[in-house]
Amino acid sequence: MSLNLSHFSLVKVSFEIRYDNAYLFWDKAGHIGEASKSLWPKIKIVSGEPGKVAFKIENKYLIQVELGKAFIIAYKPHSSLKDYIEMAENLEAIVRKELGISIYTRLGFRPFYYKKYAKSEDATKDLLDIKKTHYPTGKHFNIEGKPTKANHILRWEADKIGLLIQLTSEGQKYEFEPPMEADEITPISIERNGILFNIDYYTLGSINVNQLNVTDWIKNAYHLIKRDSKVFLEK
Amino acid sequence: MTGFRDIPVFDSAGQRDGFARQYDTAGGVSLPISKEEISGKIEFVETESINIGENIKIQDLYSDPKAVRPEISNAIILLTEANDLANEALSLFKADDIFNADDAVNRLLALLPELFCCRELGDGFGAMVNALFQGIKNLEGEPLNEMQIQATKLLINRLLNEPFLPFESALEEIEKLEESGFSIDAKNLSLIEKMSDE
Repeated sequence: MSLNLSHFSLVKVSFEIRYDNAYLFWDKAGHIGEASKSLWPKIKIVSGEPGKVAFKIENKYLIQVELGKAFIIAYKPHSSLKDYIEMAENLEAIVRKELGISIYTRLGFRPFYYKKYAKSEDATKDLLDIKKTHYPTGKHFNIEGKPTKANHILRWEADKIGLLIQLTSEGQKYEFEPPMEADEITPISIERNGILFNIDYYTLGSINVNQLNVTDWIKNAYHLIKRDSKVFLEK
Repeated sequence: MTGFRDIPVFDSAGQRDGFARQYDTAGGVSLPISKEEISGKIEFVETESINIGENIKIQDLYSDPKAVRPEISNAIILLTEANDLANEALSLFKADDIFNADDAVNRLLALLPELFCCRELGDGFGAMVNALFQGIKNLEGEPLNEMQIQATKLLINRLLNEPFLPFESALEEIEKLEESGFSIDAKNLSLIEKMSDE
């Protein structure tokens, strides 16, 4: 069966800027934090280390700034990405100003899509079927094995723009055991199976900061991904 | 798994001059090498490259007009045409064809009001387009000299490569226009307003 993006849900999205090591980071990490706090009052620090600082906002966004890169991830964003793009634009402006960046070495935009399945074997079977992957049946390596997980990776590049496309069948378990004293909280055990599809759309070559408008660049990348993903998903 | 890394290449004066790639095997050391030492084609198994080579063109960053603001796609089209005209004017001037060089400048001038309509891209963009328009108009029909054509070419080229440059950077470019002999004060402000409304 062929797939297309309408079979998937957008579960995560990431925007990343990379630059030559910006040593001002060691002086300006606090400024970055304060500038972020003035824009997003509910921001909370996740980690503060010599080479990176990370913040989260309401368990929905993760922001990380390092010596050589910065990124913002949104979990379960709205498909329009309206709020996310605005936050990405603000983050880029803060990082560019505080670290005195004039050249980016790479831009990357990466949406993650997920299609649920009841069983991981079904996800794997569909993925192998789409990609017409040949796999053996019968006894080999002295076992009667069967494919349980599959992973397809393709790097697709032109002169200045590239894409890393990944299709993965996976199964995940989330388990939480509350402290024994917290008898009001019930243990949680969740199993998720599905196909994860993500495309990393990135630049090859340097980008002057005056060439970048984050909103338009992300919109351009997102539009192209939504338009052309079907060529990697259909049979 | 073997990969590769981009390493700096140095010219004979010791100045960095591009990059070369070298296998990054376990325990290996990468050293900068001069271009003269590179011979033949080297095959690599790619992992991930850090490419800070040639600048990306604006057309590569905003490749689909349907996805971006119309000001961006319009500005790219107009600036590309203006850039070609500026190059044409300079070539013709150097070939002593002053008449046709002036014609190319006039065709470039005709693009500027429409380009000014894209000023939403940034204060720097609007300021530079306006300065160039005023500068050429204030010559009142006199053909541009070589220095002025060169300054025009450099300004258009900068706009094409950096359309979102800030106002402060635009002032530096406008200063270069004035140094080449342009007067950029708006003698007829109503004229550009009328032309951008048309």
